[in-house]
Amino acid sequence: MKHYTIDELDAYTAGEMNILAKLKCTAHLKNCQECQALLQQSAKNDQLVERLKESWAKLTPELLDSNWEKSYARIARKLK
Amino acid sequence: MAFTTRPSLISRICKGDEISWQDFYRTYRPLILLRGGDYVLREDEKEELVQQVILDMFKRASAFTYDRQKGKFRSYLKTIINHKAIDIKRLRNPNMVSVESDELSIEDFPDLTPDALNNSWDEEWQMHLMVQGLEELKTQVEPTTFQAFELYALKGQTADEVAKFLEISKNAVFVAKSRCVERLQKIIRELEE
Repeated sequence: MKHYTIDELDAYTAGEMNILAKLKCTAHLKNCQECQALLQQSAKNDQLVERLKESWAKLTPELLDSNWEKSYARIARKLK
Repeated sequence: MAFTTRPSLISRICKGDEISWQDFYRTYRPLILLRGGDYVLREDEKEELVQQVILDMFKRASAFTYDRQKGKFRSYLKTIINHKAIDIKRLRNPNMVSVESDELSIEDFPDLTPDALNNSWDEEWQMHLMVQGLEELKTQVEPTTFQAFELYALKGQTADEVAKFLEISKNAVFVAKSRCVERLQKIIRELEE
């Protein structure tokens, strides 16, 4: 029996498979524990991606707009 | 950005390497600024907090040895930020100026709640790890692979759109996503150590 790869299962969950491939995959998943486990892994990966998206969204331009030279000069002055 | 696990970054700043200080500044500045927000600091005070924390690290660097067994850098940084933020708030309040900052704690400031501060630190640290992980991932995979991952997984474009834009197959987009996620998990595990 051919097993699915995680990339294929990503496509399956993302609704990116054509209807015939999707039906075959659904039928396969009903009887294949190995692919079910991989599908769960795919879902976990998606959770990580969601956390990444949230983190990325919090990074406003102000947070990233660092001016090391200016800060370094100020820190150096305070060190003296 | 060069990949620096905290232990290696800390070792290099202890040797006074200016490039590593710059790396440290760029790496931790967003986290310290966010933390400044939790302490209800003004914008100028948040920048002051960044500088105070870096300055403190500068002063301690030569005597500081990173030892994983003695406590995580995360806790160490959290404590320094806490002390410096309280210092800044103390100086803002004329009634507290005469009080030694060591004698003050979060409880002395009615606008701060310890539980909320702890919870937000955990969230901010997670964000910090994610962002650092993503920066590192960019250096470890092919530019097209990263771009496919970024556009598809992070920016929400469809696989078809990404495949067309990058002139790769739709399957390659899914492969890029799973490879990047797998690599990212490893990077984040390393950063958490």
